[in-house]
Amino acid sequence: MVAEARVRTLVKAVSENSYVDREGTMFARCEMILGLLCKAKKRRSEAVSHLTEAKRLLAQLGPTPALDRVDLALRDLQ
Amino acid sequence: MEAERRQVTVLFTDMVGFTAFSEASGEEAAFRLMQDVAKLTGDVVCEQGGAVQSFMGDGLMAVFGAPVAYEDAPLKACRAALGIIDRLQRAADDFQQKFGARPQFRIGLNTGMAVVGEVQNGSVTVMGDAVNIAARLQSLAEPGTACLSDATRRLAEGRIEVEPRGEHQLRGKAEPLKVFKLAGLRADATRFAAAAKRGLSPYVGRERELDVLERNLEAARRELRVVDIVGEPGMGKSRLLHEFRLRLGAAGVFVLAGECSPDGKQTPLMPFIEVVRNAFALSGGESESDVVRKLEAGLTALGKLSPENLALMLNLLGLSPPEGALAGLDGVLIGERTRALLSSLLEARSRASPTVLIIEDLHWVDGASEDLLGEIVGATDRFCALVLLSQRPEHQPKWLGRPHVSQLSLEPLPAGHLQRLVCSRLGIAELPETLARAVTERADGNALFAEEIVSYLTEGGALKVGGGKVKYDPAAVSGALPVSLQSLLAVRVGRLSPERRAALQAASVIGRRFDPQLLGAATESAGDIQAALADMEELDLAHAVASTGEYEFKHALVRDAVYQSLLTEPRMKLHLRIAEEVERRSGNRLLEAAETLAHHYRQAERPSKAFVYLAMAGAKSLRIYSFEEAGHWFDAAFSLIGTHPDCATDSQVTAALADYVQYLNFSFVPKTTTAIIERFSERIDRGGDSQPAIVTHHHYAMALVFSGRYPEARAAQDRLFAMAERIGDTPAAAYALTSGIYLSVFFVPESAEACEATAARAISAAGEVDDPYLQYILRFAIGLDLSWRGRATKAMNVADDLLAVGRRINDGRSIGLGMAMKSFLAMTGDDYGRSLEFAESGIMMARTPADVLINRLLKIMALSALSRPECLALAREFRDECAENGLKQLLDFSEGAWGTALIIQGRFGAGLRWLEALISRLERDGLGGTANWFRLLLAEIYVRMISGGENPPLRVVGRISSPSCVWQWSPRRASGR
Repeated sequence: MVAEARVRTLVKAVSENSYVDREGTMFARCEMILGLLCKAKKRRSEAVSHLTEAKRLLAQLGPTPALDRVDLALRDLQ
Repeated sequence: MEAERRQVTVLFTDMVGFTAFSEASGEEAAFRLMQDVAKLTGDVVCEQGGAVQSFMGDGLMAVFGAPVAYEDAPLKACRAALGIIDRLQRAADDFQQKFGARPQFRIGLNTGMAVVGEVQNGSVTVMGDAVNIAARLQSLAEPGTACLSDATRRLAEGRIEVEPRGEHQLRGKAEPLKVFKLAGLRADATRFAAAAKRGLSPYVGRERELDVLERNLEAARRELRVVDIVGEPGMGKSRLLHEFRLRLGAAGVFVLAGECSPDGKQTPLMPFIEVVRNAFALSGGESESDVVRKLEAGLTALGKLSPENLALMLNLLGLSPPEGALAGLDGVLIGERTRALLSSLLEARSRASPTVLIIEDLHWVDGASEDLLGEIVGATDRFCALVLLSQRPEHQPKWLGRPHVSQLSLEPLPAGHLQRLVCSRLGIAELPETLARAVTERADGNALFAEEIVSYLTEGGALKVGGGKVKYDPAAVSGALPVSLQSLLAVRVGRLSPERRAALQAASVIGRRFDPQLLGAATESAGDIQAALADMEELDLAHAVASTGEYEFKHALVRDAVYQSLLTEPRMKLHLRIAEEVERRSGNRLLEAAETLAHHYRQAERPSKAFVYLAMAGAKSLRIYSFEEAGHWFDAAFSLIGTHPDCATDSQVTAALADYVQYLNFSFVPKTTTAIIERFSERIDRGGDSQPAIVTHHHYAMALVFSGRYPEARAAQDRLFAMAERIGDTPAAAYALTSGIYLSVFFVPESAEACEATAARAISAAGEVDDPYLQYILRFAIGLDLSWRGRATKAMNVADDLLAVGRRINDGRSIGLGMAMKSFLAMTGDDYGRSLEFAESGIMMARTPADVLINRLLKIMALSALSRPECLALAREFRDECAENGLKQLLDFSEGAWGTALIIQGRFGAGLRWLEALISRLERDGLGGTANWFRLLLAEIYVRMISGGENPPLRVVGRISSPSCVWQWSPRRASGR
């Protein structure tokens, strides 16, 4: 639980930073990390929500290994 | 006369028993006796051409060789000593009758280097160790005799009779001195009148070396061949090349030749400038229109004529290119294109006919030329040519060891070859054995030394040739030879008449190669320059260079020996006269002669002028991207300001600083950049608002960011904005906005909207400024800002723009930074393989240390993400380099790569703690944007652990992430890890 809290703290510091574009790839990575965290913690619906948002944002870069990772995680959750 | 260091023979006399006579006969009688004795001795000295420097009670000191120089001054002094003794003996009865005493003298003679000059009222004073030794030798002489030193004996040997008087320890001398009694003159002691006809001795030996060159020339018709000719000074490197060139004349081979010189070590591309001058038949003092005409013709013949190429050649020669011909190019680009042009000219030339490129004296090569030579040597697929390079053994070119590069060492010439050389020079068939042994043993295989020994002996009269036979005294020859080439040259120079020596000394101040007209202007009192030049050739000290109309000292050592014979003050005067003459002749082409003027004004201790030309030479070096030389000139300029603060106005200091700090920032040494600007900050402020001040402040702000001194960077940036606003023009705004954007990426960022507006203004302003640096650094700053906000698509567009701009104007810096940005963006998509590829391409394409280092960092980050084991060593090396140069900003990023590398190595706890501590520190320092990258990195590592695929167990995470375990960053801890 300590580790999960730490992850959330770290991600929150980034995603709530006004400097970071909420439609950008940095925010996408925050969503991806949270999605993977929820998936590890077996919180499926929360994980799908974060990963879906990550996928939407990462798609702007075209096909990338990061996008593949998100797709794979989503497939696992189906 | 002007004071100078010269070889003289000093004669001291002391009357035996003078004190007793004075006490017995009274002071008045003693005075009258001394009057008569002084007249007698003074007459003898004058008859022999000496000068009485002083009477001292019961003795005198006389000098031979100053103020009038004689080639046989030692012999004249010996004659005078014997003459004094003889006259006193003959007058002994008269003295007995008149004074009741038969005066006798002790006499001492010594020869050596001494400072000679007028102290006051036209009287010549001689000072130095040579004088002291003569005085002490006098005290060793028996009454009525003269003692002389070994130095005097050797120089008069063959013409005097001496008797050894053993070795004596003289006060103040570490080594005992050989002392001789002067026994008499030899009956045949006459000056050797017929000097051997001088000029180049017939070439002997080195047949093997010439064969090696011939074979390489044959091979070079099919491929690139490089021969490094290595030898100590005087071994015959230049002579070998000269002989080889004579052979080439008949073979239809085109020769391109240039040489490096110690004077030109800091002149970028010095030997290639000479190659161009020779190849295009340019001579000194030609009108600019004639130079242009010849360059156009030459470039046309090689199919390379274009306005830009012509402008690059003119710029290389230090002439002004046509207006706008180099628009849009800065020093880096001009330098790169100049080198590419020179390389392509060589390529075109070698296609037209067999070509030999000769660069001599590579041990004095400038950095830019060495880089270009490295490119030429490495381009085996482009050239079929023979490259011949000569150098001293201490120089090790970086291309040694390549298959097409061979080294040709010039070993000492065998005794037989040296003897043939000496015979040829003397015009005799055979050398007597003793003479041959003496010469070959002393010359030790060195051809130049052997030639100089022959000149020395014949000039000194110790060796005579008549009817094809040589006459000499074996003992004289073996004893008379100076122990080193340098001392031999010094003696030869010392023997010259004052007029000839003055001309030669002035020539040595000009440099190894000198223009006769400049020499004439530099030596107002040296009489007929043409006669002096003829003498220099006759004495084999300097020779005409047919292709340029200049003269050149036979060897650098000859020039050095002459130069070193000058005392400081006359040397400075000559430097000044030469500088003023060069300046006058250069008219509005001062840039062409900037290095020469900087050198002479510096040596003349004219700091104001020196500063101007040092700064000009630095800027000129930057104009052809020659960093090493630029650094040398700027360092010298600002070192001068340190010792002579008033040598430049505040505006001049600021203008020079603007160029200097640009060079420093390209070199990515922010510690040095900030230090120099802070040192002169008051002067910059006093200089007021100006474009150079804007550029200086811009680079200061950038350097502070590179140094991680963000709050200070912010303050500097605010001052820059204020100045730009006061100036109110576009260039000022462009520089201010660019560093403003770069700073805000890391520290106190603007809102996205504000930054977009600023970027648009900056792009518009920079578009009106003719500075390629501004174009790429601004785009890089905008790209970074977009990346930091996560606007990867827009950042990718900027990266593409950087690449497009770089490719359009062939600017490696822009391409390098474009690659760096693409590498970074690939990393944000987890595409570490592509990220590595981009970074490696960036390293190859980048040009300045700054863009190379940024790509190296990205390579390390990609390697650590790919779990490649080599990343740890690379990260360690990178961190050390950043720490050493004060690159705190890059150090921050390398800390992240370091933490990741530790985790990859299995040191989970250490790696995680490292990253946690880094994030805390960045946040504390106000670098939240940068901290975000490491937050995401760390969060992802934790998630992987939680997902169960990775060690360590969660308790490790719990321990290191607890608030009580936040590490404090410290450089010492960082370096110790």
